[in-house]
Amino acid sequence: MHYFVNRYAIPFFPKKEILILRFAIAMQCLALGLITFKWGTSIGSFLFLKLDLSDEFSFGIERFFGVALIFFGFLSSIKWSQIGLYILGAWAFLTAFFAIIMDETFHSEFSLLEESARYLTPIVLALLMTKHTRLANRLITFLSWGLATTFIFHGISALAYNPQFIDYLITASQTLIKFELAESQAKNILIAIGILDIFLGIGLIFFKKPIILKYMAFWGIITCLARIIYSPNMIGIEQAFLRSVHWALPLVLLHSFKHKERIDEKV
Amino acid sequence: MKKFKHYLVLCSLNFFWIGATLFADSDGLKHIRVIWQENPAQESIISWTLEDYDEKSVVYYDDIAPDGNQPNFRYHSLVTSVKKYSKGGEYSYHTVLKNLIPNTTYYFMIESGQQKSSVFNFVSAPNDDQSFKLLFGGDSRSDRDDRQKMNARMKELLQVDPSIYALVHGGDYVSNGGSWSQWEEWLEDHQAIVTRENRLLPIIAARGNHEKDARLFNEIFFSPGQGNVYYTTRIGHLAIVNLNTEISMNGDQRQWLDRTLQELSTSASWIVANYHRAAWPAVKSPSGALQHWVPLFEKYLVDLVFESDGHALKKTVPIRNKAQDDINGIIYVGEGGLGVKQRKPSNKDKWYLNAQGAYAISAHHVQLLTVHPNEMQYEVVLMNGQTHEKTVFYPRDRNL
Repeated sequence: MHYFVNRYAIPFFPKKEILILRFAIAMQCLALGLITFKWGTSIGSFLFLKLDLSDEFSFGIERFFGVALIFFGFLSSIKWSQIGLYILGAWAFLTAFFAIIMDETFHSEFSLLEESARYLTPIVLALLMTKHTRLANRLITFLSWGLATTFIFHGISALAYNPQFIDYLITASQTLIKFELAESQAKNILIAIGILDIFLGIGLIFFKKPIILKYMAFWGIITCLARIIYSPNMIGIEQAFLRSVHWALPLVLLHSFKHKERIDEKV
Repeated sequence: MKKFKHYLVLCSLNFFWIGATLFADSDGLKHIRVIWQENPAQESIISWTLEDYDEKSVVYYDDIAPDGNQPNFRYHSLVTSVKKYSKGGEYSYHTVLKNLIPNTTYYFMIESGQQKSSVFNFVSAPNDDQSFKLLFGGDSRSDRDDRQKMNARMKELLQVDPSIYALVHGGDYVSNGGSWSQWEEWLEDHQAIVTRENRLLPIIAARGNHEKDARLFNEIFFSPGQGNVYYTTRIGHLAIVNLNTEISMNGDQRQWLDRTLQELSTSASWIVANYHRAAWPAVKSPSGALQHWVPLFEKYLVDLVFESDGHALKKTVPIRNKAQDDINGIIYVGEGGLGVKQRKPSNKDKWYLNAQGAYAISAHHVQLLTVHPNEMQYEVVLMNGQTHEKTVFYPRDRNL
């Protein structure tokens, strides 16, 4: 069974959910484009500091791709663009990759694993859009591994008391319930969150239970909102949009697995 | 299970990018440095590196200049801490000299592992109305040649101006804070900041994002602030509030900052803050300091804030409530020029840099703060020795 969106067949992805994913990808693309354009990324730092290129050239390249991503972000909200998906996936992959090289943030050595859902989703979608969809099952399984990896390594980051996560919890508590959460309490909560993330990630690899994906979608939305609550400005919105696939992908996988089960039953 | 194996293979690929640390050869007593933490008028830490373990190491010291090849020292202090560095295989030695007389030249010699150092000296911090100068700077990573040039500049400044007491570093000493070989180079370069009279420049350390693996940082700088790296250094009427942008900024640290600034607002004439990732950046996006610390800086009327991380030279307009306030606003300066390659910041979209008196340019630099009881001068010295600018501050009325 194929559902057609803008003449491209995407197996096992029903129309309603594919629209959700398209919306999420568009938001991710816009956010990554804006961040790249305004602030620069690890790619520009690598070009500037490691390859010793000029600041104008390094930042110029980033601005070019920033504009391209913003363009494809808008385009994706209207129709799928395979090239746009590849560019988004490649740029998201490279920012994670060079974050390891540049080693500038907490646990950046895990960035390729933590951010796997962000670059695998557009790349796998672009691959699924080709006429040759025999590998579709494997690609979707691969995508679910990407999501699982993102959860597992965010869980590890939580267990390592990622200071940003501590501040999200404290700020959310101050903002939403006017309660001054102690840092030690925030750390205890992070232990619970981290363990749950790791178990769910492993659970997704082995069991693919709907409840796991439902929780992941819920938690994906919560963590996006945490960014906006923490920074109620454009920076927070960019950071939330950048992580749109964290809630959209579980939703789509949930329905794609259901569809696959139905098809298997019919066969 | 097969799928899981594939998954493990994919995960393990990422770990290949976590580089192995290079181990350096060691050669005798080295990396001699003076570290200041909270009360440098009375306490200084003498630190060094040695290949061997020697718990009987001693620092001999005196406030009278020794003479001849067989110097006699009236005082000595046994080593306070000997620990193997977490990388590199050598030992980190620290000796805390206590009960020092403020504003006094101390001569010292280290005896460790059957070796004796040369006689070095430093001047303890003043605790009265004495005027003094401090150097401020950050980001000495990535480009060793330029770091050595900046260190040569600081050495020259120290040579010609004995009223300079210490260097306050804003973090990012090296590119990879987990690499002992990079720290070794930094420590060698820092030790080169010594005058012809063997006077060393004490260092007050803050932590940068490239010291995210904090183990070596804490081993080298003797775990300032009990290893949390937020602490206050008091020198005369000046309080330097050193903060750590690499841990939670809204948790225990913010509460400590609130209590500390409240106390300092009545006990210190001058309050400056020093930390790594910028609240009002010339480059990059604002750090959590903007949200969590700036309101406290404004509440307690901090005089000046030193930031790093951006790899540029900047000075903002006086800022209060996210707007220019020439009377009660706070100026933020920095932003890391002790060797790292400098960026060319664009100021057009940043109101706080795009106004009269404010700027953001590309220039290696070190900042010089001159503290008098009734006046504080901020200057910027460029790599070529030119003074870029001078700003004068007067005591604030903190009874708002």
